[in-house]
Amino acid sequence: MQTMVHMTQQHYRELVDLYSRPGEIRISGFDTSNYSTFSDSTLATVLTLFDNEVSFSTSLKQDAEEFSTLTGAHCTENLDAEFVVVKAGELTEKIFHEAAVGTLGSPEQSTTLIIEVPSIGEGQKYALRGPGIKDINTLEMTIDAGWMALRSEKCLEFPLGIDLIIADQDNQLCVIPRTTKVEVK
Amino acid sequence: MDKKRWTSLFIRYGRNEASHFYNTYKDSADFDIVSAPTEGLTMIKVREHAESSLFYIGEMLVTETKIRQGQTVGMGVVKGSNENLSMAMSFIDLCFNLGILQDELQDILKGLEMAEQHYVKKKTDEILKTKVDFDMMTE
Amino acid sequence: MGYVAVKGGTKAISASVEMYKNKNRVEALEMEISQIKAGMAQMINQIMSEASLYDRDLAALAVKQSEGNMEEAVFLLRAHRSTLPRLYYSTVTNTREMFVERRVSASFKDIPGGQILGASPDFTHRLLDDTMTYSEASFEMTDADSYGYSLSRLPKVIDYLASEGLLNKVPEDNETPDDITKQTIEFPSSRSERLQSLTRGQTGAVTSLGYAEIRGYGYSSHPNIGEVRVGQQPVHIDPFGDGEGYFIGDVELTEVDAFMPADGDAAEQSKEMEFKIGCGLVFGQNETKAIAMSVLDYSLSHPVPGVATGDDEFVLLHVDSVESTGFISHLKLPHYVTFQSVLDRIRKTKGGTES
Repeated sequence: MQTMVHMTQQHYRELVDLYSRPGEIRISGFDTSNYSTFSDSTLATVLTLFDNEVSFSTSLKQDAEEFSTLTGAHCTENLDAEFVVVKAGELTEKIFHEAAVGTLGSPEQSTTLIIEVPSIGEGQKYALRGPGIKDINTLEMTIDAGWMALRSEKCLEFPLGIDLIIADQDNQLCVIPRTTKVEVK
Repeated sequence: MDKKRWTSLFIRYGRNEASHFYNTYKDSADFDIVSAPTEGLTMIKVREHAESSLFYIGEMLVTETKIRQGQTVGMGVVKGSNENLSMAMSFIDLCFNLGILQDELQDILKGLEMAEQHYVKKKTDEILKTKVDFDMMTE
Repeated sequence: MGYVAVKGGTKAISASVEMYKNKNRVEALEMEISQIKAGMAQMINQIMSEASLYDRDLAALAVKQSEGNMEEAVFLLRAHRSTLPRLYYSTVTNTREMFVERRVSASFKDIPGGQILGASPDFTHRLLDDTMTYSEASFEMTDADSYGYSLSRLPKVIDYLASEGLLNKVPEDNETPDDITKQTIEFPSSRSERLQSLTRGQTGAVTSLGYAEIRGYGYSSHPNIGEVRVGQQPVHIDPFGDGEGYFIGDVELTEVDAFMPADGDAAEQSKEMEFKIGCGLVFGQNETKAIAMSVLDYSLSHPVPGVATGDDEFVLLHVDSVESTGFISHLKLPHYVTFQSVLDRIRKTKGGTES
């Protein structure tokens, strides 16, 4: 039987793999009823990473209530929350400016952006370099290069920075951690 | 009757009634189980009265169940390890939130209010027998 | 010098575990959890309080598994709690809503609501009773007396003092408390850290240090117990933050408000007030521990320089059952290499430079 625990454990494993292999793409096999406006893979990520100690921010009240109900996490208006869940079309400069990058003593106290894009595998081509990538990884996704430039600015002073989890509407997932150098190809 | 009130009536005086209600009516409402009864903890936050500040006194074991019909969610959180009661309470919560089976629930709750009155009276009488009457000393 | 790993003893260890599990067990005498719950309620109170986990069934199981060894039972429960997710934080639990089953004041004879003795061994002769048996309590309901009397709304003795103008009413401080289960205490400690450590302290350790504090190593004066109350405390959660709380159950609590008349040095520092209050609040009926906790709450909040019981690091780091018993008992585990190096050094100094 596939319980919620099994599914989140499996999804967590996928995320750990993706964090260590930036730009690789996995398909989420998560199967649960979805009453949010996000895709299943985004919801799966939320269910896996959130619990009642977590704070998050998202724009729609309906989604916020759904995430809180399912995980017990606390919704906040502040964009320096531990997680910001957002659709690529609704990204703002404010989100990047206010995201927490952590402190030198505690770089983990930073914001993770969970961004849902229309599609991974088509759109803008990016070249990824850095730890976990042998030479170069090419990633295509429908997200504006301007946003990725803002992201790179936030990650200039390692170990400070933000991590991105990208999900699309076909349940594909990839991760761009703060260690990865992203260039438009 | 607010949520605090009816949850306390069922948990304190109506465990059997809650299970019986669930078993009788569970098929009359379609619902999905969001999370089946699982054990977890609730940290208890208390107010101390020396400086009126707060501290954590410790955790209690609870069993939690979440079910839903569409957007409406029912939650059952009860003290201790008790899957049946937790499940039944989540179903009753869902019924309240959906506004269904209200007459049946009100009937049960009326009975539980009686049970509560009886219990509290009995317990109070018993405890007050140990209340010191200092006037006795001057007689 | 690094550690040297040694192998061996696997078979002996398995055999030891087997022997421990089976020793002196007569199947016909196996205790049921329900029997332990019914017959050892006070032991369970102590264990739940020290483990900082309220569940009578789990505590009874821990008693059974540990053969009644308190430190082991507390250890088992602490270990178990670490395997469970913390799903909720309760809303603010206020003992003003407690259904009081016992409440006495040592400071005032006539307290509003009266002195209610409840069930207590305080008034027994402490003679072993070889005729003792369990019997079903029978109780007749009466019509009179309790009419209109609510044990869940008993006024507190400190309210009476405040209404007389003898005690300054302090405004509510709603700052989120620190949590020592998530963040290790740093010194100087906060009040919420102190109270959380004391409430889960080992009963004997808290009592001993509280005794030392008032016997002559600190405050050295006689605290007055304003009120001891024991009863059933309702606990609520408000998962959606909309004020529509759920009741989840009652827990038994003991609360002590101790009046500490300002004395000696402390008096000079606190001219503005006649006395301070020490707070004791613990799981279960643990009256001695709660009183000692109230004394230590005071001594740590108003430390006298140079006194151990006013030193938060000394008190808080040593009252925890799992930490103290864990460290003491680890001494019996193999320290072959460290001890060899000590011996080497002694041999070297004794034998001069040639060895």
